[in-house]
Amino acid sequence: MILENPLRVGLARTCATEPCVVVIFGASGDLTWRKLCPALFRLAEESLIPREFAILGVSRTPLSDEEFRERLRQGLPQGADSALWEAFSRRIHYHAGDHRDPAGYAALRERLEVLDEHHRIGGNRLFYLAVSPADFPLIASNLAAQGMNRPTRGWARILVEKPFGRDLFSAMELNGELLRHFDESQIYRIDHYLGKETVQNILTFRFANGIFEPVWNRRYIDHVQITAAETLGVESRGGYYDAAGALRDMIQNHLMQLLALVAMEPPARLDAEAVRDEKVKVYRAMRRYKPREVAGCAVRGQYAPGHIEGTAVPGYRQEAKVRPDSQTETYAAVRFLVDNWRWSGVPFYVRTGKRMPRKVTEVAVQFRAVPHLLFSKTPEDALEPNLLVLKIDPEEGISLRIATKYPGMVTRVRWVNMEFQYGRAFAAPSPAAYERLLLDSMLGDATLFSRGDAVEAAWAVVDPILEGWSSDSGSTEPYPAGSWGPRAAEAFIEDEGRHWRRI
Amino acid sequence: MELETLLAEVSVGHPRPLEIARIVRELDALEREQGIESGVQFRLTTTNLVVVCTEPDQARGLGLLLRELCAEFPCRCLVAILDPQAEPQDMQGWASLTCHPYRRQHMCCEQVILYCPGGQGESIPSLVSATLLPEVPTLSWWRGDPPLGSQFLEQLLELSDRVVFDSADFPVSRLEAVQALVTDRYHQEQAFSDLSWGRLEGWREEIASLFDPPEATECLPALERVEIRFVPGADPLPPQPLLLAGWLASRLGWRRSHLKWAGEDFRARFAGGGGQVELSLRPAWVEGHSGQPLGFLARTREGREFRVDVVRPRRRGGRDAWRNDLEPETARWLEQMGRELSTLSRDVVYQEALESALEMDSFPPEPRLEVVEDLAEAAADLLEARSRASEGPFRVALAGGSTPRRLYSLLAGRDLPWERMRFFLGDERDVPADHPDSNYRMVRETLLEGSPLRPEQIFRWETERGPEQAARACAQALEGEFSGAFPSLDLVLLGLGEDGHTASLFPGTPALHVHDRPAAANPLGGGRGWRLTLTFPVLNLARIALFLVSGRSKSSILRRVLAGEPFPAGRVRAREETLFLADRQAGLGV
Ligand SMILES: NC(=O)c1ccc[n+]([C@@H]2O[C@H](COP(=O)([O-])OP(=O)(O)OC[C@H]3O[C@@H](n4cnc5c(N)ncnc54)[C@H](OP(=O)(O)O)[C@@H]3O)[C@@H](O)[C@H]2O)c1
Repeated sequence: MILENPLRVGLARTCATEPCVVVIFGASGDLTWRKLCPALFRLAEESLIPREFAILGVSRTPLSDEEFRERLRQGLPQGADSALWEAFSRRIHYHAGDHRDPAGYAALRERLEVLDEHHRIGGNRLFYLAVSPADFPLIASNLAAQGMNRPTRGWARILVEKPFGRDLFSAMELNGELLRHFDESQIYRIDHYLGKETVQNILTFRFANGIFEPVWNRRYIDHVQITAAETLGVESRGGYYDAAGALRDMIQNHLMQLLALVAMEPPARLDAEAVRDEKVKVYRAMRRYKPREVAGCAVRGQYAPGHIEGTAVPGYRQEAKVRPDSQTETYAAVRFLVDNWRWSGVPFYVRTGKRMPRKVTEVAVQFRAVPHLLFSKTPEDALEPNLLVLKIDPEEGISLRIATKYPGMVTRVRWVNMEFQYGRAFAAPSPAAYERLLLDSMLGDATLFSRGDAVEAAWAVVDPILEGWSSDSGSTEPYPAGSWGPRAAEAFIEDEGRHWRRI
Repeated sequence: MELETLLAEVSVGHPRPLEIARIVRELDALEREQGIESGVQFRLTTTNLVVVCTEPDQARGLGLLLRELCAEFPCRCLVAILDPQAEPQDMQGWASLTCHPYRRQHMCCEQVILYCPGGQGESIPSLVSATLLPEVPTLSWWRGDPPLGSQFLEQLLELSDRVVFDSADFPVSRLEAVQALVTDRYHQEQAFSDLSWGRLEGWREEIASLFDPPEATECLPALERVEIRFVPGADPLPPQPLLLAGWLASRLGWRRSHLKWAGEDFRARFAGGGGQVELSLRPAWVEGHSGQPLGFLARTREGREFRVDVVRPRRRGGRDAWRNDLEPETARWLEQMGRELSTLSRDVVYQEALESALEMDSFPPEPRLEVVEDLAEAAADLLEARSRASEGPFRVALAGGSTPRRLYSLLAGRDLPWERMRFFLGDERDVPADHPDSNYRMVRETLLEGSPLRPEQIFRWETERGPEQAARACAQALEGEFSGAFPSLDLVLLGLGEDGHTASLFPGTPALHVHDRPAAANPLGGGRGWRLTLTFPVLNLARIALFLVSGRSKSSILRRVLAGEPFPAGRVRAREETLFLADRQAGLGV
């Protein structure tokens, strides 16, 4: 570990990035030149990566180091510092090989040892798997066969792209495979829907304001609505999406995380482990429906042709690489229940959809109405409860709806929203997702990555819904693109005496 | 500066004149108006910001910075511009309310501008306390040389949570007063930010990261030599390199040693953990980098080297398109100020670095005044004694003007070590060498002609090549004379103008701020043409500075300079001695 460096005291970065080599599998692919290399280069621009550093790209396409560098240079933004790129690119190398072929890994190990020596790295390795998830177990076991999972010097970490599994079974299988060769602490599962900034904004709001925590429970909260709406369709991801659907693509990972942040107990510390412990506890407390109960707790829909911002757009089944009779949901709404002391009886309505009228992500916490009506001059239905909205996208902020007296002789109540937007007032623009992910994994900070047990616990909650839907093929209701989802979704929440928020 | 220009330089919005006694009510009125116009119901304010410009010059470009700052930190902002040189008059005020033109209406900046001609701003703290918004932190930012120890500053300090200043704005010796302020036990609630220190963050980060790998951390106690190269400021050893050295010393436990000028660098030896460490601070001329560090090199006893050659300025974190129009300089400033605004705690590392820096530096002595019967005689005695007592070449910069004329004639007959003498001219007019106004001509007629001196022992400004070229030639000549090392003259003779100028460093002229070369061509402005002059770092690295002041007309300026008012002549502090020799008329009543 790092000896205390007395010169580090008081510097913004209290923790130094250790020397390491980033080994990218899938190096000739899209992700590498488009996202990973520019992100690493920006980290270099900000002097955030160590001096002793190297990149080794691995894929089958035969390329020389020079050719690989040239390919990566294409991905740099306009006006990148060419002198810096010169120095940076000298640390980029390429190794041609088939990652499915176990025989090739001895050569890979030797190559890494040479680089280690050459760039004075000292053994630390970050394996970035930018390949199809089907190949994750294979690469893990091949690395292990050469002892690269348990280095004698330094650390080895393995970073896997999303998605992690397509149901509980496959996720457990994948976890099992990875865990056979690597410890949980070595595995970094990407799930970067929520930026670190957002996560911290929510935690700060909840736990640094003494006035909210006491009312943050079933006695004062009526229900919670979590919405993630996009205006886009499936775009070019038709093939992948058609096999996944909204529940897998958005709810299982992203929205359940958001739910966990809102519902969790205060962690003992703000570090990755403590926060992740609390999140898992929420997943474990979530009601597991029986597949046959699904109709009462979840609704799905699929967009039909319609209009987005005045422009006609095709329906889902007309999109490229989508089966013309597809039942895949592009809209899903689920009522989750968190069966614990704090939340018992408080529904969490979670909805997500493509081709919605607006792009919005938010969490709305609706408080209970006042118990007794003092204001006779106000029509009863105009007396709304307090509402607290944590806005996440497109603009982060908080809004609180409170009742005020209307000016004048009569006691009439008027509702006003107090709005606050983080905007530039506090949040220095947060670094792009991949910069953050790469830096954090080099620093060994797992906050933004999912832990194995959390992934499984989340799958365990949505698995019965998937199962229920698969046995009830007729339940996907079409909705016109540009609307707020299928009619069944309205009925579903109104049956419980509530409404979706108009956003 | 014209009042109108001044307003344009500092204002964020459209200032309207305001009756000082009605400040708070006027602000409320502005706010109501704006609220009605835009329907704002909820306002966000994060900071009270009080900016004090200690002279009108410090107001330049402030509005631009404030506009950007207010976009990020909606604030109530009060700008006070002091104008100590102006005729005392009533204070004037303006106010404006600007809601941010970018996305958000509710991010507003209220600005009050106060102009205080002739005054020292005694009444400002009372206005500040009346205008501050409750509950949000107050930051006071001094532009220029803060009147340390004054009641004004003390009162403003009481109202502030954080005090921002830039030690590059005042003589390095003032750091002692800064230290006293920062450590004063009555000011433990305030936090202090020295922007010069903040600008070192990149250097500290780079240097620290050299020693992050464990085997490099182990090398720290084994360091044998540490060298910091830097460009001088008005002081030959300006705050940034000094603080950087102080930081190293305090973090690494180097104690009790003084930096001494060793011909080409400032040097100190410390008893470190595993033996002696030599610290060398080496000045160099690099244009455009005044006062900044240039390089770091550390060597262990085993010969392992650690170096940082350039520190590239940090890129701003985000990629917000609407900020890309910012000058990199402004963007960096904004980022730094943003950091200062969002932290409220004290910076202990700074305090320790400052303490170590002060322990290391032996600041030049304060100027002395000596009133004599015969100025020329006294000066000649002094020059003769000092030059005879020295060894090796004795290098003198001469002054022009009428006062020294008699001195030079006297000197010619004195017993100087003529062989070892080398003469330069501290400044020159932009005229041919045989022109009656030429300083060189005067020196030639008085000194050269009556003494055994050879012409090549007197350096001449080559005015026939044009001012810029002449200054460059002078820099080259000095470099040759000192074999590439930083020029440290043995004695500089200086005059004192009624406007406080010395050499050709006139108030308000560009050469006052030239620190990255030894000589500058100085346009005086207003059709007064050019002058050639040595710059502050050279004057201040001399061993002795000798001012000759004669005549009743100089009496008032002499008093003000010695009282510490901000005139160019007051910025001269030679390493060993700064002496104002005055005749009876000039020294009268001082
Ligand atoms: N692109 C994105 O923006 C994005 C975003 C989120 C997640 N992801 C995930 O990131 C992963 C990679 O995405 P991508 O867009 O970069 O995919 P891609 O463009 O299809 O690249 C796949 C790479 O894998 C290499 N490869 C395939 N089989 C190989 C084998 N047997 N041995 C060695 N190399 C092999 C291919 O190179 P050769 O043909 O040269 O061998 C190619 O470089 C996927 O899991 C994807 O889900 C991508």
